Amino acid sequence: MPGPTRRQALGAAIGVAAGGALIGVTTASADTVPAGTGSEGSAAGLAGTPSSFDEVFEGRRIQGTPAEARASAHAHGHAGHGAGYRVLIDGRELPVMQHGRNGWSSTINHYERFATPLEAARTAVISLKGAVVVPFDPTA
Amino acid sequence: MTVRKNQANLTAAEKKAFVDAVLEVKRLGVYDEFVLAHRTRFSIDMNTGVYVGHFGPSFLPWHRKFLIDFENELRKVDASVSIPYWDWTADNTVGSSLWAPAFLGGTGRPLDDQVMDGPFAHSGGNWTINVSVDSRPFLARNLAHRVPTLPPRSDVDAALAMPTYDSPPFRDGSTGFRSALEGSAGYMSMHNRVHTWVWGHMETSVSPNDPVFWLHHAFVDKLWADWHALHPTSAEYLPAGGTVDVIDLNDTMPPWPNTTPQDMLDHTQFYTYA
Ligand SMILES: [Cu+2]
Ligand SMILES: [Cu+2]
Repeated sequence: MPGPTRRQALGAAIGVAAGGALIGVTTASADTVPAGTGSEGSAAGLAGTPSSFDEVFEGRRIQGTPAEARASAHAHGHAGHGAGYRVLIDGRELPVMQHGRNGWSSTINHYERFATPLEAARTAVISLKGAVVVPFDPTA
Repeated sequence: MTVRKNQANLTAAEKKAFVDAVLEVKRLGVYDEFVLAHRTRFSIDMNTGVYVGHFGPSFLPWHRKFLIDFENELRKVDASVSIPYWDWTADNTVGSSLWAPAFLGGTGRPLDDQVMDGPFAHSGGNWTINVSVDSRPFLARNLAHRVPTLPPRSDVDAALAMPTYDSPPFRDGSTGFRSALEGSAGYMSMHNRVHTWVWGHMETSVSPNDPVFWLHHAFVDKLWADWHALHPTSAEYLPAGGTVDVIDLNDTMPPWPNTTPQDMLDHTQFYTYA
């Protein structure tokens, strides 16, 4: 982008972010995410941090782990989006993030909201049609 | 003076000039800098919880500046070019001339959502996805797949009727024109719904990989200008100041070192809408 370089951009962003709190710890609540997003994974989102999952969905292995449970987990790539929860598709990180009480999204489905990270992971699998997620530097 | 026109009213020559300028900015490597800036903004915002580019009040001035910068790059290539706007309440079908091979090309093939026709088809050799979040090297779309319809004019009119720009907490849960227009007030609505309707790259944090991004956001930007004209006594931007972790009227918006929402309020110093 013209004007600021990438490094300047990062510096400016950090300036604004200084003192910024991490995204709230309130969890997705079912009543803010209407039917049609599927209800399969919503139970886990009702209280506290969503629970772990590890399943094969449409031929892809998807795994999700709350931050507390992955303190000793092998780090894939970089420290990704949202410190609270980590999602993998076939072992590669799908960055997910929580939008207050409105639910979750991922880099693959950034304009939707899902009740749980599991739903975000399943929708990313459907979206990718066989493509794989690719780690990137979140600070450019 | 830059005049942004409704894409439905462009001549064949105007469409070609726009497409050619986009392809040249891409060839120069500049286009991908914009894609990168968008991905980075999303990532930093999500990691810090300070919503600069999306999901907060600065969504509109941030994208206004983003489009001005991109339009300037296009005009370095061809000074006759401006960003057209796509009124998705009117041109709301897969059959719209917007998606014709002579303009943006159409929907993707079922196998992998790959766009196969038009100037941005990967097979044409001019449009490889370099900055991404997944392994697809081609532009992907699946029009009307995830959601069957684009937002109706009645939704736009309801948003335009709201007298307040934005409201506390100035993030998820806010009410007002900005959140209604962005679509964060409802599920799959308005601006967000358009991204999802196009699907493919438009659904991702690297949505500017699809050139329709610019036409979509030009219309969103026009609606902000329209809203202000309808409510001349309303504050064109809120919050005015002193709000923690929110871009106030006179705060700078990263990545730009010196650009504030205030600087973006009068769009007519940069361009007008026809
Ligand atoms: Cu954006
Ligand atoms: Cu957008």
